[in-house]
Formats: sequence, structure tokens, C-alpha cells
Amino acid sequence: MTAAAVVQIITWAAKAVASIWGVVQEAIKKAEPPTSAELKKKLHDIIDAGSDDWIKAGKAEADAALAAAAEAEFDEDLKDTLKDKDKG
Amino acid sequence: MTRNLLVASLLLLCAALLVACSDPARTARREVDRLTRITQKVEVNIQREARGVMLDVAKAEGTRRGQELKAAGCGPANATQPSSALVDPCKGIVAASEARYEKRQGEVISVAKKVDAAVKTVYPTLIVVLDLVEDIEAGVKATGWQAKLAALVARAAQTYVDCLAAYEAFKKAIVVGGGK
Repeated sequence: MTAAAVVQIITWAAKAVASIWGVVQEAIKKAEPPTSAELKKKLHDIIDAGSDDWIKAGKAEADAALAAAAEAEFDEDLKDTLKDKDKG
Repeated sequence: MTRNLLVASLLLLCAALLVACSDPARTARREVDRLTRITQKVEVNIQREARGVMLDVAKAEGTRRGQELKAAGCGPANATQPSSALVDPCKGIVAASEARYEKRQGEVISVAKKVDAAVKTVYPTLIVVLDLVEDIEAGVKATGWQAKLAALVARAAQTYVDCLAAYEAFKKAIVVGGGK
């Protein structure tokens, strides 16, 4: 084997290794979890944002539903009366 | 020779990958990330289910209030007025309805608040893990750091398991105590 052929093979092998290494690095990067600082920030944001707002919103929504359901009982009555009138 | 070079390179890459994946600090960060996500999901579920039960309670009470008012000869305007603005017999019906409703909603809200607080205890345990991870990544490795890190991650995971148990108890409690 000539020296030129050896150099050629080494060059080719180096290129192959470099490209495989690139793929592996990309895979590692993708699988890399967020940094500690990022995770801490996220956790502090969650803790700081923790409030009872959802309970207040849920209660307001429920209060409105209660009134609507109570009124609906009278609407049903009205519908029945109208139906009776139509039949009459 | 080429084949040997390639095999050696591949082995080197595999070793690098193995080292990268088995880094305890990285593994801990990945676990913290996972626990944060699933804990948040539990929180969202609690809020959604509690709101659903609150709505059911309200609809059932609204229907009952409407029926009782109708039976007593009260008009539809009484259905949406507070009892303080009414006169008997409509006042008494609405007042009793308000008391029932507030009591049942109070039960649901109380249980939901308790379990929400239990779920939130997961987050501080995760911050403790990250404090140690930061030290490790900064090169501050006290004796037995690996065991300590494993113990902290296990504690955080256990807190999450406890939070799940609280969530299951919550589901039962709101259905039995404050639900339909």
C-alpha cells in the first residue's frame, strides 16, 4: 500500500468519524434536559403563580349556572303554557 | 486497517454517549423536568374536576330552587334575586337554597384547596434537587454526593406519589361529599 493510499484512507476515516460525531452530538443535544437554572425558574414561576384564582372563577361560573338553572325551570313552565295554548 | 479505525471510532462514540447519558446530574435534571410536567398535569386535572363538580352542584341546586319557587307560587324574578331582596315565602325558599348551596360548594372548595396545597409540596422538593445539581455541575462534590442526589430525587418522586394519592382521595371526596 502506498503512502498516498494510507493518507487517503485516514482522511476518509476522519471524515466518516466527524460526520458520525456530528449526528451523535445532535442526538445528545436533543436529549439534553433543560438546565438547572431553567428548571428552577420554571418551578419558581409555578410556585409564585399559585393562587386561588381558579376557585374564584369556578365559583363565579357555578353561581351563574345556578341562576340559569333556576330560571330555566320557569322557562319550561312558559314553554308548556305556550304549547297548551297552541293546542287549544 | 480502515475497518479497525472505524470500529475504534464507533466504540469511542458509544463510550462518550454512555458517559453523557449516565451523568447523575443530567439524569437528575431529566427526572426533575419529568416530575414538574406530570405534577402540573395533576394540578390542571384537580382544577378541572373541581370546577366540574362545582357546576354540577350549582345546576342541581338551581333546578331545586326553581321548582320550590314555582311550587310556592313565586315568579321567575325571584330565582335570580338574593334572599335579602325578597319577601316570604320566596325569601325563605331562596335563603334555604343559598345556605345549602354555599355549604356544598364550601365542601368542594375546601377539599380542592387542601389537595392543591398537597400537590404544590412537590415543587420545593424539586428545587432542593436542583440546588445539589448546581453544586455538582459547578464542581462542588462533597463526599457521598451521588448517594445524596439519589436520595433527594427519590424523595421528590415519593412526594409526587403522595400527591397522586391525595388526588385520588380528592376525586372520591368531591364525588361523595360535594358532588352529585
